[in-house]
Amino acid sequence: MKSIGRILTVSICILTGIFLWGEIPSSYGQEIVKVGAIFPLTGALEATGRELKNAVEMATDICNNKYPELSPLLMAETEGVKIKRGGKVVNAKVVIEWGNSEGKVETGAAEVSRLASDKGVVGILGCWQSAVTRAAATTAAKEGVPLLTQSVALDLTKPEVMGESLKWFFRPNPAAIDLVEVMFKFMDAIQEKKKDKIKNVAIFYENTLYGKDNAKTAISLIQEKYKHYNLVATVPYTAKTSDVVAEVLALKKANPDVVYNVGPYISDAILFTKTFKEQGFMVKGFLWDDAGVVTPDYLKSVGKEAEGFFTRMIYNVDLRTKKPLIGKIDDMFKKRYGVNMDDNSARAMLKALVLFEAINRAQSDKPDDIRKALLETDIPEAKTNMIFGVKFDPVTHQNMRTVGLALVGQARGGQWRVAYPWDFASVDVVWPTPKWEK
Amino acid sequence: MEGSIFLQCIISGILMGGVFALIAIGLSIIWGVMEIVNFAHGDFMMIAMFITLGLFQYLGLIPIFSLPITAAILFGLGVVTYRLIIRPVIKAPMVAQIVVTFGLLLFIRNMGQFIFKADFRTLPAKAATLDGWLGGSINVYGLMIPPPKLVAFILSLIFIILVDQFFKRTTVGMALRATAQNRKASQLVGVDVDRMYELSWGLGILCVGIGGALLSLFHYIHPEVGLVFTLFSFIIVTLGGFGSIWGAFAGGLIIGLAESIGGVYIAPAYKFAVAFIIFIVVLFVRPQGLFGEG
Repeated sequence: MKSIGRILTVSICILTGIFLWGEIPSSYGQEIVKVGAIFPLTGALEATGRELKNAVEMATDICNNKYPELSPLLMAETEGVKIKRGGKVVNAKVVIEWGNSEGKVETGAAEVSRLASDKGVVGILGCWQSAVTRAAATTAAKEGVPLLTQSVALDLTKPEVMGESLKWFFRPNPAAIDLVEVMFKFMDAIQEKKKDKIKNVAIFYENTLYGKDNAKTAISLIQEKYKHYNLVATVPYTAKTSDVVAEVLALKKANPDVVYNVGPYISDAILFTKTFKEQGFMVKGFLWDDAGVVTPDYLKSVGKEAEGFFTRMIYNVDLRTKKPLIGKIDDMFKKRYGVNMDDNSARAMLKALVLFEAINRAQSDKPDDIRKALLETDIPEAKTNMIFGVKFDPVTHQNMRTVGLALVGQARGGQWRVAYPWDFASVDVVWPTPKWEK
Repeated sequence: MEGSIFLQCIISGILMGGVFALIAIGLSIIWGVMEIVNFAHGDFMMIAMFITLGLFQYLGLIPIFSLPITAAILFGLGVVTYRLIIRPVIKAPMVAQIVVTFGLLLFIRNMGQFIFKADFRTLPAKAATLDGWLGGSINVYGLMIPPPKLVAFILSLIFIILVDQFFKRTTVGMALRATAQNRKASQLVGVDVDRMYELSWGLGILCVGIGGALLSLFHYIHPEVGLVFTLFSFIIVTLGGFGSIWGAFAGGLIIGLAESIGGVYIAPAYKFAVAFIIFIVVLFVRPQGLFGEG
């Protein structure tokens, strides 16, 4: 009996030791700075969340280790970030504390609190979905931690909407206005190039903040700037639905020349694409607004059914011919994760590197110092993984260097290729969309 | 154009409604016989979809041939679920039963994500078109009838008829109905109630499995796909009347049509609201459902 007691006691001690050892960070002894990252890591958007996580992981690795071959990319030649500790400037490794929004507004906001209060992160990257980001921004402001986003909803950088939250909120990539407008610029240009006429436009969108915001932007562009287009229908729909026949029939009823989805999650994009074909619904151009359609699963799932469809984007691997650094980064990403970078992952990497650079420049792990450093960010295009640099507007905290820098991609042979602007195009645009194959 | 859009709504609503109905009938059987709410209903449908995909990818079986295998697997899964998870809580309070099936939902869904990841998949064209037997949509004077949905509807209807006849004309079916009506009296006349419960689970999960396999012909496959179909199944079963096969069929058609017509003529964003309003109105007028017994 005594020996059983001893064995049990020793076993418990060993197990506790193993447990505690596991809890000790592998960077024990090394200075660290914690940064939070909140993405939908489970649920319907997990595929996108995984992409974003991979991109942030790789950005963290680039920051923490020297990659001279990626020079002059931000943080490629550092080994961590410099921060002042005890009056001395030391090198600290960036450690990411992951948060899972589960794609839900309330969970995203709760994760901000958890990461800020429990984990002591000095900055947060998140949350991809505009509605979740909006709630997370409010919580980040309460916690006094800067939040960098890649969500494009225009409202996110409007002082009258965000109020005090804007103080701690930054967006390094373009906002909806540039991204939505590029499709109208494309429509103008394609009419001239292909001697075709586009008159009637139908807009459809998922009815949360992301879709509604983009739709508002698109509608106001038609009403104020692109008055030569006739808005024949606006069709909001509930995201992640079971089928979209009603939506497609509503579009069909309007008889448009082009349809423009300004807020597609991947599940809906797949259903729409299949239902367009099923209902024999053909227009001159099927236009998407990035988000779910640039996730690799979309083109893999729909195959030839999406051939000739368009999407706006701000990144594409084809840009490597214009900017070799993009190719080097993409090669590294593909080697690690088996897929090319896309718009989502590229934006995630950008915001991570921008935050690390601000921490490094501030030489501080105090959130307010980092916030002030972000306001002074001035990164040239050559140092980013995009075709634009980064400088935040002092009021809206929107990157000012993205104006007019969006692209239009076309699905060709199962991949998104750059189709517009013509200077950046890697393929000759096909217009109108090819008819459905039987 | 206006007339053809309306007719298209009717056709699309009926086709989709038939598949909804088959998925819901499984819930109706379990609920009707055992009065247990299976919150994991849609997640069994998800399993069937992945099995259908897997049987095509690894054995080259197109869905029409893999359907019996999928059905058998899901039947077995239903029986195992009953024995391991449901039987221990048969006599427990209703709350415990709800918690158990809810826990089952979380388990299946998260295991699905763990095993299959949350990647979106679709049946390859060869499988979805049944090896090319199904071509593009059939155009009948401008009305589009997509073959995968038509096949799914026809097979759903055939299966619903078979289930109905099973309950009406076979001894086992009558025993199931007797158990549903009065468990104690059934025991007194020699019905093995435990075996009936086991069978109802097997049959219920088999139904949702066939529904899932047919749905995979035209729907994406994903670990989270079951949620909205579970919700619809509850509405359809309640609308049609608990334990009524044809009630569930009618309920499925009503929901399919409400979504389709309401979505086009009111607004797509409100198509679910239209379906729910009809559901509430029917319940208000006839609480036992359209075909339920008072």
